[in-house]
Formats: sequence, structure tokens, C-alpha cells
Amino acid sequence: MVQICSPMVGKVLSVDVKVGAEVKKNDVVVTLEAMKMQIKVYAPSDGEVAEVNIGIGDVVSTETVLVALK
Amino acid sequence: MSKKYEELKSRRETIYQMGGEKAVAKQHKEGKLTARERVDYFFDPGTFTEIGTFVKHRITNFGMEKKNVPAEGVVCGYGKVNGRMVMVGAEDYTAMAGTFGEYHGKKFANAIDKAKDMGIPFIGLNDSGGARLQEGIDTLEAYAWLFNSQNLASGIIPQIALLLGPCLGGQAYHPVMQDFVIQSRNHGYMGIAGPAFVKAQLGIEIDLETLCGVQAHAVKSGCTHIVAGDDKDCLDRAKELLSYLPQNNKEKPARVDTGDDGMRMVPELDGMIPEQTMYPYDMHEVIEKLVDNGVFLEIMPDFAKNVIIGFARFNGRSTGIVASQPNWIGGVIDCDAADKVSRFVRFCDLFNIPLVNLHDTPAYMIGPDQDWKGILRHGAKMLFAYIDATVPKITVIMRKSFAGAYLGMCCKGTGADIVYAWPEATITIVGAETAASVIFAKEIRNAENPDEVKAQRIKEYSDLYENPYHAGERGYIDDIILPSETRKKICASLDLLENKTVVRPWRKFSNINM
Repeated sequence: MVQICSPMVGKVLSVDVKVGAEVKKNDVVVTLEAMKMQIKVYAPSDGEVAEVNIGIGDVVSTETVLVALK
Repeated sequence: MSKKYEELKSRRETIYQMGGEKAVAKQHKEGKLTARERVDYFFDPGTFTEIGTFVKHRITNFGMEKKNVPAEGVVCGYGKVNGRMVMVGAEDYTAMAGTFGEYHGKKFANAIDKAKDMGIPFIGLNDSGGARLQEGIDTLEAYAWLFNSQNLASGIIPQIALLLGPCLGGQAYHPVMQDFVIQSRNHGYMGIAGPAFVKAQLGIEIDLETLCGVQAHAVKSGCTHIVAGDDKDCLDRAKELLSYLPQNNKEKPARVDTGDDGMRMVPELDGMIPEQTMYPYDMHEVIEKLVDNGVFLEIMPDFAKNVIIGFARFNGRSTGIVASQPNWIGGVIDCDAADKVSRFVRFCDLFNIPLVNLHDTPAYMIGPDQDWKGILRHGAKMLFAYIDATVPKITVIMRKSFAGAYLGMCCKGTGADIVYAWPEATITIVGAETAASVIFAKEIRNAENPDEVKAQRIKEYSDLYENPYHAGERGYIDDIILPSETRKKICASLDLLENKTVVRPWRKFSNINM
């Protein structure tokens, strides 16, 4: 299981993957907004999306596991 | 042949055998070259001259009087690398595991002293089992000689460390205190203590790769600058890096004919970055279009990825590049990014390498996490580094440059000789929304239609200040240019700044926030 945490504090702008989807390394999984910038969160490795723990508008921190891959 | 000559021949032969056939075979089996093979590969053929070949330890305790350690476990000497004189110290793991004893340390430190006195770069090839415990204080004090020598050479000659094997314990300060660390992903390890110590003293079970490998230092700690593969790859990267550096702090890096015209226009850059300041893009693509032949040697590519640093050439001139990376956490400057930039700026300043700074950053990172981690003292390093630096500094404000980040990335007042801005640039104290909500708070609150008044005030502030022209009117921007003209302008500015001199009153140094 690979847990993808938020790289910084921010608000979820869009969730770009669904549970069950196959992702490749460096695919965008979530887009956040912080510091008036869109922050793309990338998959660190290939895998299948096992969990999506957040929704649009959620405020997340570096402790938050956004998405988990298997 | 005279007996004396024969004796020399046989003594030499023994030393050249290093730790012997078995130890050499083991080294090869691990995918590593021996110290002497590394040295042979590194230098231009036939140019290596060894020094201290016959140096030997003088310890008699614990059976050490019978222990023969060829070349004391470190091969030192000088030779030519692409025609330039360079000194190396190459640790020999086959000779008593390359352990660091009194005379091993003495040889190492002497090689650095010599390199400093002759004004030539020093390259350390680290592959050692650590301190030679049989020697007690003698080995410990020798570390002090090494650190002392490399510190006194710092800023005089470039020093590059290659991690080609283990380098654990206090000895690991040796590579880290040099200018650049190149780590082998196959077999380079560095750490304040290895897994055995960590288990014994902290009860934590962790393997060597996780604790001390490339993920640890190129991604997490920021101690490693370049990751490479096997020995040859690491040595090749060191040669590549050397090509951007001068021999010493009195010289400029060699100018190279790259065949790329300095006056070349780059039409692809016009309209390439999103005008909407919220949208990220990959700054690497901009750098590659600007520099000679698109060749860019990135330093620390996997640590604090929100800023990009590295070497490239403009019209053949070696140049240090510092650029925001909007693609990673918005290109905001956090503590790690500030550390990464400041040490690089100071390195370039020490070795007469001009700097090109590409701004597209929203700010220094705010919030409790970064404020408590010390963003103020870390961010201050960038201000100190840029203001202190006397090398030519050219800034291009591509898009966003706000507040502290405008100052920290090098603006006119914090040391830039020449500042250009693109038409996309927004250069001001804060964004229009923030500004309007502060300045007109009362007016908006009391208005009959607050939303309308707010929108109107935001527009007003934005029209006045969210552009490059207000800064241009004050002369803080030398010129507003099309992106396609950027390369040409940078090259012309470097021509102008070629012989820039700065005279300041004497002081020991500035009190930079360490």
C-alpha cells in the first residue's frame, strides 16, 4: 500500500482519480489550492487506487493521506 | 638490476596489489572498482602522479605492528582531467576496509592542503569502513586534521565528494563539508551512524539502504547533490560538474564554444507559460529553451523541488541558475528551498560564476508549520546570500513575484545588476484581493452593495499594480521584454557584467542566519 500525503496545507480543488483506477508514476491524483496556486499531487509510483479519503473543499495538511495505491 | 632497484620494484608491486587478490575480487563482486582502477578511469591517460605511496601507520597495539595496509588505505595524487590539473584522495576498501587511521587521515589532509596551495580542485572518493578503532585518539585527532584542511580550502578550491562505498560516523562530515556530494545509488552510503549503532543506542531497526542510501540523502536530508549509478557514472558526473567550475577562486570558469548563438531568439517562449497565475507549469522546459543547446546540469533535483538550481551555459559562459518551480507546491519558498538556494548562491559567488534568477513564486511559505520550523531565519539566508554576492546577477521576473519572495529571489535592491520582466509579470507587495480587503475594509463593510464595491476596488488595485509597469516606472525593472528576447538579453547582460567589480568596506563576514 502506498499512501500519498498532501505535500502542504491546502484546500482540495479536484480529485483526479477514482477508486479502482490504474495510475502511472507522476500521474496527477489530486489538485489542491494553496498560496493562490494550483498544487498538483502526483503518484509516486504505478498502482491501483485503493482509497480516496478526501473530497472537494476539504482542508488537508501534510499529515492527511489523500489517496492510497495498491 | 641493482638490488636497491629491485627492492623498490618489489615494494611498489606489493602496494599496487592493494589488499590482495581476494579482497580485490570481493570489491569487484560488489560491482565496485578498486581505488586504483577509479583513479585510472578518472584521469587523462598516463597523467596520474601518486604522492605518499609508502606512507605507513605506526601503531603497534592489538597486533597492528604486523598489519600491512598498502598506501595506508588511501591513494592520493594529482593528474589531468580534460587537461586540467586535479587532486584526488581515493579510499581503498580492499586495504583494511579503507579504515581511517592517523596516517590515512594525514595523507588525505595533506592532499587537500596541497590542492589548496596549488589552486586546483580536490576530489575525494569515499569508500571506507570508518574509524580504525585500534588507534584510539590517534585516529580521532586525524579527523580534525582532515576537517581543518578542507575547511581552510573551502572557498579557495572547488571540492567534490563521491560516495562510492560506505562513509559512516563523524567521517561523514568529510563529504558533507565539501561543495558537492555525488552519491552512487548502487553502493554509496552516508550517515552519522550506521544501522548497528542506531539499533544499539535507540532500539530502532533500520537497514543501511533506508537509513543512509540515496532516498535518505538526495530526497529527505538534502545532503546529496547528484545521484549517479556505478563508479564510472559517478566519476563521469564529477568531470561534467568540473567543466562548469574554475580551478580556484581567483579564476573564472573556462568559456566554451558551444556553437549556440547568444543572440538567438526563442519564439517558442512567447505564450508558453499560462497567463493565469494560478496554473502551474514545468520550469525545466523554460530553462532548457533559454540555455546553450538546452544543456542543464541540475543540482539536488529531488530535494525541495519547489526551486530548481543548477549549471548551464549562456553564450559559452558557465552560469548558475536559480528558478522557481511552479509545478511543485506552487513554487513557494519553504525552509528547505531557502537552504538549497542560499548555499548554491554562495558557492557561485565564491567561484566567480554569474547567477541568473528566474522568478515565478507566490511567496515565502506561511502558516504554523513553516513559521515554527523557522522560515524567517531560513528565508533570511537567501537575502544574505544574494546581497553579499558580488558576481554578476541577472533576474528575470516571468510571472509572479510578490512580497518577501520578490526580495528573496533577488530583485534590484537585493543585489540584481539587471532585472527584466515579462509582460505576464505581476510585481507588487501582495495580490489585489488581499490588498483591497485590507485598505478598503471599512468602505466595503459600510457599502450598500459590499460585493460590488469590493470587486471594483480589487480591479482598481489590480489594474494599477498587478503588472510589470509600475516597477518599471520606478526603474526597479530595467526593461520589460518579450519572453522570446530573454536569452538574447541575458547573454548581452553577461557581456556587460563580464568585468564587474565591487568594493565594500572590510568586515570579517556578514552574520548570516545559519
